[in-house]
Amino acid sequence: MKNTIRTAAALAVASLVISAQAEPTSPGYVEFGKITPPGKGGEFVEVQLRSNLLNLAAGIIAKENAEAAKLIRSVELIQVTVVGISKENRTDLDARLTKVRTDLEAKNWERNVAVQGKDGEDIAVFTKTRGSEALAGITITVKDKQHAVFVNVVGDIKPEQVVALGESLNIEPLKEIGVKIKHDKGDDKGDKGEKGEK
Amino acid sequence: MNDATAIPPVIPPVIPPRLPRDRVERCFRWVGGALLVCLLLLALAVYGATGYFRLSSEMAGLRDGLQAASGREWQRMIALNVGGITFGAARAGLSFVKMEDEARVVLETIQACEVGIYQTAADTDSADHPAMLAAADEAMQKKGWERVVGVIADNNLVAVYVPTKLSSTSRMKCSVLVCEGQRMILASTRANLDPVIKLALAKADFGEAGKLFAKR
Repeated sequence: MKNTIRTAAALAVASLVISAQAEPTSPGYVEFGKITPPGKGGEFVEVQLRSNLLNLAAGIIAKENAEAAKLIRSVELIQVTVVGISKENRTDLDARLTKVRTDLEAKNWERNVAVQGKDGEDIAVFTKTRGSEALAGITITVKDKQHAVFVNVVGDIKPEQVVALGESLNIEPLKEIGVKIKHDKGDDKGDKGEKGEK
Repeated sequence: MNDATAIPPVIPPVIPPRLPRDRVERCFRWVGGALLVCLLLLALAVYGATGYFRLSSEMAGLRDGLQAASGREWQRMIALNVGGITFGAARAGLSFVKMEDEARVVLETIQACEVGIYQTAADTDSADHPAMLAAADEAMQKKGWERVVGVIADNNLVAVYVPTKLSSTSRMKCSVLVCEGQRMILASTRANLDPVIKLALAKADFGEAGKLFAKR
């Protein structure tokens, strides 16, 4: 009897630990840290869609659009944070942006896009691959004069599905990066083909 | 000899006649009990009726957290809580009434809802929205809810919460917080989304996204 209780308790603790760690251990998950909203008058938008809500959404559209449902089910987490830049938080956001990018590079994320615009726009897109066919995560950081944007999509996503995901969830940077990834993939195949011919 | 061994005659105990006082006492006991039951029923009815004007523990916790974080005095304008029994009765009653399909779908969708509207003095400074959002997150997390959307812009605050454990669309819960200038609105609903999803999908046009998926 005691053993049964012990086993049950151990299982309960183990399941709690596993559920608590499920998110951070996913290779595509990025911890942006606690981004506090700016002071009065500042802008702040935060969206966090976890698998529970995404699975529910997938279930809703499954009958009508099985492909879309399959795609949404392949996503574990979507987190988007948009912060208005003010005098008070500019330094903190710059430091955070730099830290996120440095950490990603240290963790072998591939930097697919790096744009430094004329008007100070600073865009970086990172992807973490899962095997050779799928992405475990996509991270986009954007900074312009007024806003800093952090996007992280975690799951088991095929590169060609990224545009559709951006369209279905109306995430503009995802649509754009999807097109870019497609192009890159096409280029890679082209390069490999050329190399093979040589 | 026979006389000596004879069993003495059994004298039945004398039962004193019941006094009218006992009867009165018993009567009082019954009447008292009946009155107590009536009072309890009345209290339950009053509690049930006032329940329409009391927020649930989740919303009350959220309200208290927000009020503390904002550092302002909020006056209640309205607090309304309509539960499943009332909605069920309304559905049953209206099932005999001819209605538009959309209206019936809405009626079938909502299972319970509550709303609280609070106002603060017009001359006070704008509330500390970041602090309020943090307080709302903490209060809702304690009750097993998580925030899916949080927006602070143009002196407004909007946050949407759903339970951490979502099982089905037939019993979906959602809570919304809106803080707009001097007004704060808390709303929560429990709904069966299946009818409205059916209707939405029947009338939906997936547009560009649909075309993209259709290509695959």
